[in-house]
Amino acid sequence: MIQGNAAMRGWDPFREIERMQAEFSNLFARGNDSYAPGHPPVNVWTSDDGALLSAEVPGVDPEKIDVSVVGDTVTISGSRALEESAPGVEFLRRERGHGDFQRSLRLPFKVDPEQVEARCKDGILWLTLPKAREARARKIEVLAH
Amino acid sequence: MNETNPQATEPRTTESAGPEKTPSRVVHVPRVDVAESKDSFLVVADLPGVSQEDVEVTVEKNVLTIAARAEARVPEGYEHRFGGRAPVEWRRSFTLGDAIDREAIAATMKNGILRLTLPKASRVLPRRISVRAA
Repeated sequence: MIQGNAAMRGWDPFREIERMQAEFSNLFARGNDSYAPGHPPVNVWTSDDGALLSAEVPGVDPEKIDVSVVGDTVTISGSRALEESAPGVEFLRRERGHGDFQRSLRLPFKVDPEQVEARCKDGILWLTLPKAREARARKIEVLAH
Repeated sequence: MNETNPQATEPRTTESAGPEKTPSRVVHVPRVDVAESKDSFLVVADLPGVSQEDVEVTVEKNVLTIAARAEARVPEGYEHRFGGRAPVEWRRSFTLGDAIDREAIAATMKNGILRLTLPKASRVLPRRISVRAA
């Protein structure tokens, strides 16, 4: 009679490998980033003509923010510097996050990448994302015969 | 420098029995970094959406308070589709030690970040009072 070890039977090497892979990719995805996945916080509004997106990026140098638009997907990425510690300076509290961030959002329509506008004010990034021409509703007049 | 009990935490609705309270307004606590050097303290606070005119730093007795208000973000002609409610109001207080020169506290605002410099007073060295024979 062949009977495997009960503990061994519960052990699935493939599952274990998957788990490890997941952990590793998590590790690398985070990098030196201390941000949670939902960063930066964003809000999206839409109208018939397109969308407005706001992202909270206080303290981020606007020149260090990258915005890319592919089809219906907008990606914001950048980096926030760590408040520098000079010699003789001791940090008593460090609550503010730092490091690299990236966030992608899929909009309900294709965006015209040529018309996208980005501006930064008081630590908030504003994106104007007009609909691509093919995504706009076309009104077809019905002719009477 | 210690933080005073900030009453302005996010509203809790499950704290006690009875009807849940609706806060008249939601006040957030900004995240801060606090650093100390030989001659000053530095406080850096995240206040996204707040401009220089919309932040107020006050010192009353030994309590320093940061209060800020951002413009509500409601674009006209648009419908909200995604995201939580962005904070509009912030407040946080700190207790100052005797070592801080209250008159010399300086504040700057840039890219939604408030930086406060709190210099230490030069006269915090212990004073010795000589005892004379009467």
